[in-house]
Amino acid sequence: MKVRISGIGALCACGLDFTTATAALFQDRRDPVPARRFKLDHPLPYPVFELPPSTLDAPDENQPWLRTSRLAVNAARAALADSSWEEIDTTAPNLSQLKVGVSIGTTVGGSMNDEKFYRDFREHKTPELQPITRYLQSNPAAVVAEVFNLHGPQLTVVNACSSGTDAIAIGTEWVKSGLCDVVLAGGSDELCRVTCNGFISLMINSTQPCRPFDEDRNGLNLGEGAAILVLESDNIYRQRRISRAENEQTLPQAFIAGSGSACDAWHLTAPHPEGRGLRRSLQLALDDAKITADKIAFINAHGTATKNNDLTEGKVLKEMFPETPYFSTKGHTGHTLGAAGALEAAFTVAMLQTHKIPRSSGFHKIDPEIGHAPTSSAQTVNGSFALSQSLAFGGNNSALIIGLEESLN
Amino acid sequence: MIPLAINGIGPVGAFGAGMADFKAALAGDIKIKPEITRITTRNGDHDLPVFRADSKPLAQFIKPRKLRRLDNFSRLALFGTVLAVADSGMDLEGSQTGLIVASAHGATATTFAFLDSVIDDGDALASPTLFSNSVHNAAASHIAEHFTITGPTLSLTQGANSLTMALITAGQWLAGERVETVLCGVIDCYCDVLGYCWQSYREQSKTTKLNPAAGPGEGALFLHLSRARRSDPKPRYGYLKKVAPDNEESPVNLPFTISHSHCSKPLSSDSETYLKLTPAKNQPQVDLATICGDLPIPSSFDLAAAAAPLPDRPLPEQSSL
Repeated sequence: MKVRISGIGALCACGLDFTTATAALFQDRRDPVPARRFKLDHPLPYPVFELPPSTLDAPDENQPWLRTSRLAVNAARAALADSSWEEIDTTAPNLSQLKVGVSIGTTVGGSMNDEKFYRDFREHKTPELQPITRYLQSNPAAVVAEVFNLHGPQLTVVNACSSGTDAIAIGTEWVKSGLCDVVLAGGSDELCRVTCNGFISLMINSTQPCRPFDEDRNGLNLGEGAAILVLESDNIYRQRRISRAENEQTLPQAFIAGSGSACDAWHLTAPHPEGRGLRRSLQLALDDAKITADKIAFINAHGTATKNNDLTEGKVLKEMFPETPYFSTKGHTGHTLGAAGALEAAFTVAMLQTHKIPRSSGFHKIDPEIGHAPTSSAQTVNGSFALSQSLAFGGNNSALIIGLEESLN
Repeated sequence: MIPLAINGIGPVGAFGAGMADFKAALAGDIKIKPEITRITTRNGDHDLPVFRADSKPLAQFIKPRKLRRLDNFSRLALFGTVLAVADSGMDLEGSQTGLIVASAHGATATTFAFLDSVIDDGDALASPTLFSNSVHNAAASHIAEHFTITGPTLSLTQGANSLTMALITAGQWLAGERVETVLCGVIDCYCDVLGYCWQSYREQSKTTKLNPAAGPGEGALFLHLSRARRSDPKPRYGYLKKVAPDNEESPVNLPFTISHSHCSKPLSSDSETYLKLTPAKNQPQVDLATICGDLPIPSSFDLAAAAAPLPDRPLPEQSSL
């Protein structure tokens, strides 16, 4: 069964809506700066890609949910609008009549780590439970299901940096197996002081704008954002085609062609040096899509700009996809952790539909150890398949292949 | 959903480790001794009984040198998987195996220990080891490394429904033939912050009668699952035939009921939905709160209890809790 991508909603540092964010990837402007919403105390500043100021900045204290869940709701709302689900046609099914699941990846959104609460607890101040209650109410998948009154399965994936990719792959399986008719799948993560300090402690953050795959790369910039894809069964999609006719005329339709996931089983914080799990996940995705590597038009790589990630990833791409253009979008978004795979899958859909890919922002000089350069300028691409991949802390490797159907027959 | 063969179960909790200990506890042969922990809330000091699990026996299976960088959360999770594999009598080597680790709250003790390093030593001296182990999927990484699991690994958190979603995913992986075997289970650990929250929520509750013998628990429960095939011998613990999210309610009649009567909402959940689905009123009842303490994923040890009935022994009497 074909699993359609009928709508996308996304927000990140380069845009509070998906159209703006995608357009920004083709511009040279990028400006990571020290976090606006919290302070870090380090000898050097570590720039991050924070969302532009908006109503989403309201302090958690005044909100029922953590920022991560609010970002997910924002992206889900945009995705549902993009997929025309709000236009209820009495002759077509509506969401309340269907099995609609929610599968969302996150890191921060699943963590009980309120720093103020804990400082008070340490000082025997018997703190109010409000931050804990907010955390308990903020499971991202449960919040999205509650807001949009969805009654299917809910799953919050916490696979670190591959969470968004894995959440989409799982949502795809739910549709394929008939467990769901429609799934809101993606990822969401906020910038958080605790996480920033954690990454800095691992000495993998850069004090400059990140340079994925560049010889002189020296670490990542953290970011925040969310992306939600509306996945639906071919059957449901065709039933409501009539209300989507206008959209169909403008863009070819995308679908999830395949997915693969494999673990390095190697080390907690370092990828396998030969990319054992990544190779396997890529091959599994190709097999699932029933295509060969030469059918992939381009690759939206993980490309964090850490020494280890980019070396492993670059070497595997050189070997498995020697002629295929690849790039990282993290030079514009930062590493959005649990949202990264979802944001990148969303960008991949848009680029496949418009046949345009951007330069790999931050890249200037080829790394001889990798011996394979990402895109150095925007390009036109042809083809019906593209790859979006994630490597994660803990050794997870996950890949999605997005397909394009020029006409819906 | 295809039927899933339950080949092995690895429980670790206040009752001990392994199915023999768990069955003995169900039969009332093991006296559970909760650890008494002093918790101070707005209402004063409380001696809270905490149902702790002991990961030290894991050293019988794995060299201490390999365990030294693992926190208690990862050790208990690893212990649960080691026991499940041993209980199955099967070897994972050469098998395409997937791994699913579900937790309601993750490695909270390690997260707060990391915050201790930030508060005590400053942002610039935060502990990288504590941060690494605080990440939700650290336990899965350690387990995958130990067993060389190169299939898909999934860490998830979905509150009280975490085990349900883990089992649904395991079923999908096996039905889709992505893997031949899945190690699937839950892990949650106690820390004093959770103890404070547990007691404070209990005190705020208007409807729950406080019982001094009730307390939070911790533990791991892992299953060795495979696709049920006609040609295979009957699996040790039978089959999982249906797993449904809790909003798919259809009543069933069961020979006995497993309940959790002493939860601290919203930090943990009782068996409200479960009991609604088991309309018969007079069947024997097991209250796992007396064996495991109050766990944030109440269905975890229910499954072990349901899979391992005691045909030659009466069920223990309803707890005095």
